[in-house]
Amino acid sequence: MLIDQHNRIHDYLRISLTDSCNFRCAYCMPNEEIEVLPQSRLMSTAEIDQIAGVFVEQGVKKIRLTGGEPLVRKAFPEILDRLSKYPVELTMTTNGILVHKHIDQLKQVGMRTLNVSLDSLNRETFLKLTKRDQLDQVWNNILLLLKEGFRVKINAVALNGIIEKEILDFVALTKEYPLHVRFIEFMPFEGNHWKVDKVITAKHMLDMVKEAYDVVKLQDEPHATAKKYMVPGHQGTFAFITTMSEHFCGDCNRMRLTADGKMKNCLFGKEEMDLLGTLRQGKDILPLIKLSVHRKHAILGGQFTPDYQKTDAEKIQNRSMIKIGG
Amino acid sequence: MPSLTYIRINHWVNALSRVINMELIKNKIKVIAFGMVAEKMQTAELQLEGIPSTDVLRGYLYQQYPGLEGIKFGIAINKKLTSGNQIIPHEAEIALLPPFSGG
Repeated sequence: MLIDQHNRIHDYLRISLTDSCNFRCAYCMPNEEIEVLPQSRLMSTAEIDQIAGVFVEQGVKKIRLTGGEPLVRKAFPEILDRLSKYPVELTMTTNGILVHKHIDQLKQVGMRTLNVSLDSLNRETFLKLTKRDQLDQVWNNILLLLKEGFRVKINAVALNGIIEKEILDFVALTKEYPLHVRFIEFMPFEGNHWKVDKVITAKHMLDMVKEAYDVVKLQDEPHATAKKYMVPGHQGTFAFITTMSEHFCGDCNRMRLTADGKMKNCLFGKEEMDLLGTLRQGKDILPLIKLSVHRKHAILGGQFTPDYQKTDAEKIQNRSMIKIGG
Repeated sequence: MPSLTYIRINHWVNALSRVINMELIKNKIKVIAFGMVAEKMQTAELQLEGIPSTDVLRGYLYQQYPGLEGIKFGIAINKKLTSGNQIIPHEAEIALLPPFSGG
């Protein structure tokens, strides 16, 4: 079992399969950086399998596949196949554009829930954000997933100038579709031009929703990052992920593996343990894993003040989001 | 001929039950039904009295509205979804929510 110094059991592993993506969202993939990792630096299928195996032995019960965009990894089907043999809940976060090609396998390995990242329901805005004119295909794939019986959560980063115009449209989706829309407060990463005044807080967003709708507070599960709500009579729900205004570090159970095989004990942690390098030297990775968990900070990787409004993004040492996978 | 003690106890019991009755009568609640629940009940809004808990509320509703048979619904008290049996506070606003997927 992997327990840190703050008594948090870590049983949820997020594996980035690639730092490559077929979209170009500025807050994730800053323009300055189109240099993706060469194949040799990525964890191979076998290496992912081996490393995941060590984590599962230590009690990991849930694995999420991320990226970049996990589905652009050519070996995705093989990787999924290998991981499906572990007794874990498998899930994935994707931009959705390629999902139609993988539905059969996703069903076959028992993936029940998928998170689709979607920051705008407006075609022009979507194009501006992602640099791709593909909103229609993404939306069609969301509908396809629902039709095929998947539980679909939508992750919308709350970007100022956009979310104020669209939040009610997102909530309106939940009337007709059993979707779970989560609004994520904008977070600072290397090069993404984060500023305090760009953060639209959950409270502000909730107030906007309440102006148009009756809202009921739902119960949140343990280890949940999202605070859930619904409009009575709607089929779906909405929620806020309050990373900035109200962190949820207290019962964090998450660990991350970057595409180049480095372990991060926190999304905002600057320290990384080189599991892949160690594995390739034929050495045991478990001591490094335990060390990483042991060194995990209590809150926000030790790089933030409790009041997010005092955050100096320049001082935070971390990768860009594309290189972590969220 | 009842003893003085008996008379006093009886008097006290009567007074107490009047207070209890008054308290129960005072617990007025507004119940709003949504979606399919409202359809099956053929009404969207009720005023009820003397319902102390969500279990009692469910029992009452299933009994009074046979159309609800087999329909599961959630109960929110003052805009917070409840689970299990919860006490219903004074003048609470109750919402009856049709099934929805968890979130």
